[in-house]
This record gives sequence, C-alpha cells and structure tokens, in this order.
Amino acid sequence: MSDGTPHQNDAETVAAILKGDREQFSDLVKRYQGRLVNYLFRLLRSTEEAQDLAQEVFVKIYLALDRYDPQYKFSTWLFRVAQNAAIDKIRKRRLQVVSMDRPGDREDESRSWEFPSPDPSPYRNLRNRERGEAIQEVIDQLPWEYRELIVLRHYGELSYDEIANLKKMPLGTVKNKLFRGRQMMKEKLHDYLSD
Amino acid sequence: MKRLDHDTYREWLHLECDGELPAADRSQLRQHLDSCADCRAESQELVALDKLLTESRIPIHRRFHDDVMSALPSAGWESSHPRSWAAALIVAALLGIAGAALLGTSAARLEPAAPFVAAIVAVVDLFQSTALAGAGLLTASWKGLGLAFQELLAGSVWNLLAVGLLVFGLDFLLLRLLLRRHRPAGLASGGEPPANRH
Repeated sequence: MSDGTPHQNDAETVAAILKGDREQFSDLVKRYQGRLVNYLFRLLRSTEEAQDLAQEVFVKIYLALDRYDPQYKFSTWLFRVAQNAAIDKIRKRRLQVVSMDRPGDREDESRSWEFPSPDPSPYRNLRNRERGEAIQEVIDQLPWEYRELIVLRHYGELSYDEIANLKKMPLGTVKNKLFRGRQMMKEKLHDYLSD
Repeated sequence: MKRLDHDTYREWLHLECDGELPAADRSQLRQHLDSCADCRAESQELVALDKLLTESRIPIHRRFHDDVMSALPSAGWESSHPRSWAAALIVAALLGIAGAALLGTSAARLEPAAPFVAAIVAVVDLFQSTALAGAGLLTASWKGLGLAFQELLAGSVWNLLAVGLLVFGLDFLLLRLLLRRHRPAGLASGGEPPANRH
C-alpha cells in the first residue's frame, strides 16, 4: 500500500535539505503528496480545499524542518501537522454560515466522490459515482475515533506503528479501533463488496 | 501449534489484510482458512473493502508538486546555512578587491609604474573625479535653493505671508489624507456592514 520508499530515507532527505539542498524537498513532496491529499480530502470532503491545505502543510513543514527530530518518523510528523490543520479548517467552516450550503461546494464534492476512471461508460460512470458517494457517506457516519484511524490507514497509508505514534495510543487500541471501524464499513457497504 | 478461538482468527484477518500479521502466524491462519468457510468469506470481504477504498482515492492536480515547490518561502533555518552567506561573501570579496585596487593605485602614484598599472590608475582617477563632480553639483544645487528661499523671504512681508499660507495649506491637505486613510473601509466605500456570525 505504501509508496515503496523506506522511511529511514526520509530522515536522510531532511538532513540533505538542512545542509542546503533545497531541491531534495521535491522528493518528499512526491513521496507524500498523494497520501496527504487523499487523507485531507476524506476529512474535508472537498478536492480543492484538500489540495490547498496539503500545499499549506508542505510549506509549513518546510519552514519548520530544522525542528524535525529524526528519532521520530517524518510521516508521523507530517500527518500530525496535517491533522491539526484539517481540524482547524473544519472548526472555521462550522463558524461560517453560508459556505456549507453554497451550490458550488456541493457540485465540487459530488464530482470528487466519483471513482477516477480513464473512459467509463455512462452506466459505469453512474455506478462509480454511486460507490464514491456511498463510501464517503459511510466514512462520515463513522464515529470520529474510528473515522480518523480508517482514513489514516487507508488513505494516509500509515502503518499501525505510525498511527499509534501519531495518535499517542497503544498499538492494541489502534488494532481494535481499526477492526471495529472496518466491521461497521463492511456492513454498510455490503452491496458494493460483491462487485 | 496452539489452538486459537474464532475471534482471534478474525482479528488476524484484519492484520493480514494490512500486512501487519507476523510471518509465524500467517501459515496458521492459512490452515484455518482452508477449513473455515466463514473466515474465508470474511477474508474475501476484507480484501474487497480494501480494494474499494483503494480505488476511491482521488488523483492530485497535475501542477500540485510544482505549485508546492514554487510556494516555498525562505525558511528561517536557511539563514544559518553557508550557502546563504555566499552572496554576502562575494560582495565583501569584491569590496575588498576594490579597496586593494585603490590602495595599490595610490601607492603606484608615488613611484613610476608599468603601463598596465598606469592604465588602472587612470581609470580609478576618472571614477574618483566623476564622483567628486557629482557630489559638488548636488551641494551647489542645495546651496542655490537655500539662497533663493532666503532672498524670497527677506524680500517683503507679503512674500513671507504667502509662503506661510502655502505651508499651512500643504499641512491641512496632508492631515485630510491621513484621516481618510484611517477611516474604516466599509464606511469609506459606502458598502454594507459584514453579516453577523453565528
């Protein structure tokens, strides 16, 4: 599921950047951009907001790179910053009256829920859209404690260890919450699992 | 091999799906799957769920990476890095070379020198003369302006009064401009006040 890049390389890459090789940051962005955008998208439910916030997170991380402690995994740090940024964004959004119900936002969301497909038939397109919406609905219905772990695991592609470090919870709790969250998802998405 | 209950195998299925099940337990799980239809069905559902979620990942914008790289500002830590001192060091070195050249040409004037050195001395002299001429002109123009004002003010009481009125008018204009800048934007443009937030 992961990008295939060993995590020990992250610390080496950061060290190279801090020595002045700014271009090495490009490798870190390429390594994590897909995972970060997808993680944020599942929390924010808007592709535009997710990509904008992911960009902000990368910039924030770059500026604070000298404070990175190599004894922890870079991915854990990155996703912690992203998680805090997403929570801030969600809080701010709740304070705004109009933004949630603007027609433009809804169009953006529904478009984003479609499965990416190069050339789908109209039926396939409709089916993909239905599945995308069903998945998002099920994720949204999960209790927050399960939802964030499911999203970290399946969209952030973090390992159990990384999630445990990020959430500061015992490994057993991570396994248990993922187990329960997935059981709930399986029940609700049962019709789509046999496709 | 220890005998495990059904719930443990179900938990193992999740770990296996995430690639987190230790290799030692994997063969035991496989054996159990061969004999347990319920767990086989559960395993297939988990694999299908994982596939469904993987397929639902969204693609990122084509320009995302370039946008991030071009949005990177200079970080605070970069100022302590040797590379960021390079420009300052180059300027210091150039200033040093220029200083040494000036000192060298001054020394060369004292004793006869080769034609090459004499040419450098001539160029440096030319620059010095230009700079001195510029400075002289600037001083002269300020001095001239001062004299003109002095003559104007000493001419008559009416001249003094006119200049006083001019200064007062300019001050008044400046004050008006400053007050307008401090007025709230919504009032200045005549727009509606922002809606209340709940």
